[in-house]
Amino acid sequence: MYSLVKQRDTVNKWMERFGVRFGIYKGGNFHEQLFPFDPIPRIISHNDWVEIEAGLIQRVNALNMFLADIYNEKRIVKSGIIPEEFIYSSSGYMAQCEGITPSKSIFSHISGIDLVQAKDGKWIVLEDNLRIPSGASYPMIARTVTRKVSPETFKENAVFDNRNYSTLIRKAMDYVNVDNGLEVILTPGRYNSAYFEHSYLAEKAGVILAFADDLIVENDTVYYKGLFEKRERVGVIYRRISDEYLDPLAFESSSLLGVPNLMRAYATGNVAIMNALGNGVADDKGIYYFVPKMVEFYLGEKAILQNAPTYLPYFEEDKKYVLENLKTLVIKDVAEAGGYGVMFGCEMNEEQLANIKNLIETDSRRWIAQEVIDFIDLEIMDGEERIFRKSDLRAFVISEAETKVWHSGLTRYTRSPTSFIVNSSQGGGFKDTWIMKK
Amino acid sequence: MQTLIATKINSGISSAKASRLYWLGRYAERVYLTLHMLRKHFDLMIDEDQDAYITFCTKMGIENKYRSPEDFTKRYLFDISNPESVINMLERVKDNSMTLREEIMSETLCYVELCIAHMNKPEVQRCGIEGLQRITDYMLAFWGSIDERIVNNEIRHSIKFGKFVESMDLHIRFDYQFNRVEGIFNRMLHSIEKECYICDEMTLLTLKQHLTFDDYKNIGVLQLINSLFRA
Repeated sequence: MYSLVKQRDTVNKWMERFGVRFGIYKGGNFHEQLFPFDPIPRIISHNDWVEIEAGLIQRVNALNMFLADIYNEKRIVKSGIIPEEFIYSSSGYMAQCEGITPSKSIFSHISGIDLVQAKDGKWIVLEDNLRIPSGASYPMIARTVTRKVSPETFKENAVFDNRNYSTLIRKAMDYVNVDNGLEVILTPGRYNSAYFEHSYLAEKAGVILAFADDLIVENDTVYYKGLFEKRERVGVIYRRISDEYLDPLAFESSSLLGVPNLMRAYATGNVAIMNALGNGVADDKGIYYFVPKMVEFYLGEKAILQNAPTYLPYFEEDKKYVLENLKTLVIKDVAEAGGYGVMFGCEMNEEQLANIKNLIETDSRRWIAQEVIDFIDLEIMDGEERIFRKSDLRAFVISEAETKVWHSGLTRYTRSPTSFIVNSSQGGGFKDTWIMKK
Repeated sequence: MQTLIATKINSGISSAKASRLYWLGRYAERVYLTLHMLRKHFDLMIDEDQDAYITFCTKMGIENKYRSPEDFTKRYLFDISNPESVINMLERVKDNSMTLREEIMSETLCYVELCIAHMNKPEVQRCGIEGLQRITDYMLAFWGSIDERIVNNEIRHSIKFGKFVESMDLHIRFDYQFNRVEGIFNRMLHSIEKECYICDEMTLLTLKQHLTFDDYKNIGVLQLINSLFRA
């Protein structure tokens, strides 16, 4: 590993050569920047991984069952486990998806589960991402580069290869493909923050990178528009566009990124969409509170992976606790993502605390509060110096005939010594994640 | 090591993709040939004709908005805010390449990234045209990679169709002899006859009639060359 650290400039040159960037909007302008890569990997022992893997499979299976249930029978609501209001007031719930069962009954084909490791070694789930979780391509290409630059590192360490992520995606696409149609990744375009990933995965998975104008829906069937009016049936779309922009006739009418009538083709079962529409109801920060209960309800098992201690001000008892202990909690706006809408009580002044108290009292459903997890710091290189920073792990779970966990993950770290926010959009960097074979 | 077990081959060219393939070829060739033509004019500027850059602008069909040879060197090569600059041509190559990564492969796209990183180095910008031999080398590697890595003939020939169109256009503008232009035209015919559906056949027939020793420098021929693409 020493050689990997020594050669980090070479690694970064290779990253630049491959165009490993992410886009960011600042002041209304689009900028592309390199995603800072730290050469010291996060290492997860084989034993730890066995438990994490089992917990992730269990959690994602339950979440898929929840989605199938919530858009059909709603047994979990009828059983009183989740209040009805939590479903219908979720910004991710889509009434248009009621009664729709996607191809092979899979809703979340690619799930990004954010975890942190507490100082006692326990892994805790912070967030589920079931809509368009991104970031897997970065450790995938980082591994390609680090194996080139420092082969001895991988001779000396028995690490699972992570370059099969695109194969896992492709298998999931093959599995849900309707009538063996074309397989495409639908991108909003090169000015999307994750465009590198869209194009890289299309290349590595051997599928077509499609833009909205390349697709057309005729007779409730999606076609790829070839040259001179040629039409080719599309069987599966791995979309990298949010639900609300996917179909201007069904959702946001001003969207130029979507494909008119795509929702009709999907509802008719003529095309598979990865991930399914309406998944946002399951990764709502408010619904997160109920995931361990979902595991018990659908699988009859105790959840292997625990949530961070979470309070829902929607419940009077929790609200009282939150209002009394605001200074020691982290408050999250359920409508926000990407590290936005996260406030630490200890960092707020009296006026800010009064404001947030007022907001919690008037719109309790919009907020959750969590105990601040003192998660472990990871070593990163800062020039020639080794320093410690907060980091999380996004694990990727692929659901096809079986549910599988990719033997790697995106480890993001904060570059600020006082911050807990690791998101790349807020200046964070990334590391490779090594899962040890033994 | 990654193995792709899936058997289905996903392949398709939409008209927007065809346009990107064609313009990728054109812009990449424009970068390569512009540097080639520039070197000849910079050579003249050493001791024969200080204003050769003005002739260059006229032949390229661009306005001479440059105040001096030094100003031309700086702004025509490296000024990103100048839409005609070489760095801007490279940005257009990058725009098209990025949207075609799955067809041209990351290994080909790398050469475009390397060009832009090289052009943006302050020490290279201080050297002027002498510092850009590496861009020429990268562009040759880019074309080699297109030939070696793209197995889909339709994709490869569409890019090369753009390359040959640009090449004919620039060779005519810079007064190259007929046999040189004809040679490029024949290479283009050889390429498009195999598998390329984005060349307009009627325009091609008309061009064949007018691309003669006597007429090849007429503006009408340039117009025909620039109308060959259809999608």
